[in-house]
Amino acid sequence: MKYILFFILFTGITFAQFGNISGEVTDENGLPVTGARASLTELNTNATSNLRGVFTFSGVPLQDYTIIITSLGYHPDTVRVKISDIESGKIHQVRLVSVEVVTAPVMVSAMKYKHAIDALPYATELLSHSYLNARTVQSVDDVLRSVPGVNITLDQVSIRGSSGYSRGAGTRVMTALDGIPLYTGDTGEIIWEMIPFYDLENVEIVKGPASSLYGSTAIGGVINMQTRDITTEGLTILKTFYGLYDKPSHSQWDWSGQYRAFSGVTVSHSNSIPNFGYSVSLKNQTSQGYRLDDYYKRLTGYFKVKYNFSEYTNMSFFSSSLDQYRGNFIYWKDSRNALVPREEDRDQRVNSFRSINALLFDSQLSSSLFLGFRSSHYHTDWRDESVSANRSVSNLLRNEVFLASDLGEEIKILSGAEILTGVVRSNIFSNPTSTGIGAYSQVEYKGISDLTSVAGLRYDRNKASGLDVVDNISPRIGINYKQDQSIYYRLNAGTAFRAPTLAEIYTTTNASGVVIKANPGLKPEKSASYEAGILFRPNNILEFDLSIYRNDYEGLIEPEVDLTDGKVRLNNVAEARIIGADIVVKGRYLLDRVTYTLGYTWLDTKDITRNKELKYRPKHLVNFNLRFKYGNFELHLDSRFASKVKEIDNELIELGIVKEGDKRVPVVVSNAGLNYTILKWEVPVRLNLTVNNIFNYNYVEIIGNLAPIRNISLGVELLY
Amino acid sequence: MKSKKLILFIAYFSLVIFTSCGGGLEPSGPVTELPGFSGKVTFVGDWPEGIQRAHLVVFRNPLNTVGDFNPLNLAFVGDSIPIGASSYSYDSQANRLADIFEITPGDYSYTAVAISYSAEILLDRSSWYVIGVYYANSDTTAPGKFSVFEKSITKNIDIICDFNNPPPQPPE
Repeated sequence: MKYILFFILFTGITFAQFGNISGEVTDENGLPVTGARASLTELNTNATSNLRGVFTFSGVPLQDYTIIITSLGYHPDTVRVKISDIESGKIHQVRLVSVEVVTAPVMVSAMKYKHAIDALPYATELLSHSYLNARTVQSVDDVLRSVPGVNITLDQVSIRGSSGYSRGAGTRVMTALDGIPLYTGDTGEIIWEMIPFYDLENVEIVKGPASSLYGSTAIGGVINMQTRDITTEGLTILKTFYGLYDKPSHSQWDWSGQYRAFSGVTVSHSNSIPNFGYSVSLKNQTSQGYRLDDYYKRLTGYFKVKYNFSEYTNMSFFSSSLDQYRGNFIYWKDSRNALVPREEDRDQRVNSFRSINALLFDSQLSSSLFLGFRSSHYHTDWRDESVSANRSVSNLLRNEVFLASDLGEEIKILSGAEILTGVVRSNIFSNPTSTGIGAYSQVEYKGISDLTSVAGLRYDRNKASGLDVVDNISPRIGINYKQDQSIYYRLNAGTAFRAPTLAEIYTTTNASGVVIKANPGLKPEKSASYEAGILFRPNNILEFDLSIYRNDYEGLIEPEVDLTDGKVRLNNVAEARIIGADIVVKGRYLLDRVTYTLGYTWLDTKDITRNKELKYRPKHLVNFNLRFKYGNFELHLDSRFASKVKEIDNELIELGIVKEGDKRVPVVVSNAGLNYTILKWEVPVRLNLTVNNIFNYNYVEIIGNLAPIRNISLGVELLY
Repeated sequence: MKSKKLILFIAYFSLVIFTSCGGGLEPSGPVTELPGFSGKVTFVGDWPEGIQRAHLVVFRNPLNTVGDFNPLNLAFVGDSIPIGASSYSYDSQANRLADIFEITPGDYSYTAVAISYSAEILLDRSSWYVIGVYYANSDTTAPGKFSVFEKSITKNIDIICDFNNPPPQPPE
């Protein structure tokens, strides 16, 4: 009895020592500020304001605190919290004031550690959380299409013309999630659908080769997606949308007589207890498809846990998986049947399961030494459920360790090593394996006033079974000079490479009447790049960024007909050169109610081997993104123009595989979305109306493959 | 008041957008020097489970006996009609299953939509079930005839396929 009484007294005292702190963040107009970060300095923990602008710290010990509130575009504010405030449950009101100067966002990944975007020697674009959060998309690549200098052809991403479209070829852009590469072990492609779009905090795009840090596949650039922080309080988000494809604009194309539907539901939850946090989300998406045999059913799961060993050391683990069943529309029958596949390609289906699991360990060993460790396993298993019955199972294991050290205020050194192993079991790619090791080091020097100099070098050794060992050395140097607060100059030069994927080397199949054979003689693609750029901010509402660049490629891997037997193989056929320029203008008006980005990219590409332009590279790209925010309304408009590509897969047209495949036009597409947030209920609700391809413009990105026609969707989002 | 103006602006903007459409790539038109026919197939009711194929078929002579169901009498077979479609527009130049089904000028006596539960295209009569027949001038007492002329496309060869009320079957 004595012990029970003691226990009750003890727990009573314990409970009495904890409480909650809540605050409500608004702007000058009294409107909620979403996504503001509240930092509880004494406990070194953070909370983020929700759609109502409210943040909460739960279960904090009773004591006085200082909370620092920060949000991009606002002056930071500080709140003092007393014990009596916690005991009384007081809700602290924080009114943030807009900043008058542009605040530079912070890059995390461009150099594998935090770096101000202005001071980078490379052209870099950042898509913020609010930019991503305003959009309802079926997969991440839909958002990347609106980024200046980025072009996506079907599902293959190109930065500054690095890629066109080559079916079966691996990516030339390193795409990563929290720094973990996302290309598959067999085909080296990016599966956009398995990226947890609604869990992303931001997307960083480094334009230009970056093999000196990232090795193979970064020959065209880097896209790194950062996932959201785990919330300090329980947060559940329910997102759902339902949409319809419009009727085709030509009655001949109306193959179903129906409005084709698509829909999606996402449920996510995150929470933390001291030192441990988790986040989990499930997404289910279906689409009937606007074309025959273009349907899909997807189930995507994402799971992340993070444990803080101390203020300086943490470990996190994430897993992202995709279970997908889809039709396989390859080419149209002809232009009069643009939404119907060829008779011989009917009823093709692909069943796939893919998952990536990653472990991340970060430790600030001392004030000047940071240690990072990354380990990931990417598993893919896909099955072509048609006559060919192609199947591939691949596993790619990657480990990387890096050390960042500050040698005083002026020198920072980043060094790391990576090892990877890939195993493929397939009836189309054979059963090959691959291994690779890489070691890199980069020095950043800030000893000269306003000048940041970077020099990096990476060594890679790759080996695919049956092939010789291939060594690559990728150096890169760059400088960034800050003339004053408004002008930054940058210069960089370097070399890069991409090792052929196992699928590129070993594919043996018969596709659409074409016999494809293996090519064990395939070698890495190589490039040399040079870039000069200037960032100019004449005032606090306008920004210009200009880049000119030249990339020389050697041994680009493309399909080629072997004249000795008439079979097709992937080979190092092209020596190429790309000269280009980007100009990006960003503006914001009316206290950030109106923001816009206008981008123009000019590309002069040349296939030196064939003395013609490179395939599927538009000469002109224009992007325009407009965002208008008024009260609880938010309107965004994304428009893009790509000039008509000159060179396409003429061989497929001449062989009669793609009828009327030469039909193509410039791409002129606009998407719009309208969001309205309702705050008067207990649970904040956001309604979303999205219209893609609002003018129902008909175009192709590759031959014989009509891009999505106009579609309209309505979404609802709940936070509680 | 401001919100009302904003809503009106958005409504007007939406109206402008949705009344403008199309543009860009267009389908090739029919080759007017070649003869042909076109029309629309409308499906009523739910598609039964298990159907693997549906095709528009045209016979030159009437199907009076089982012997009339033969390759020599078969003038045209269209592409596979998408399973589950509620309507299907076609023209004989764009939607023929194979190039051998080239329409020539003349009279055609029996036009129908036939379904099959086999994924393969089988030529025996028992493999096919007629789900809709072309009737001329709304006369549903007998299959309709139509004519194709030199350098002309005969239009409006429309067929209604009612899964709940299929037409009389040809001799089997």
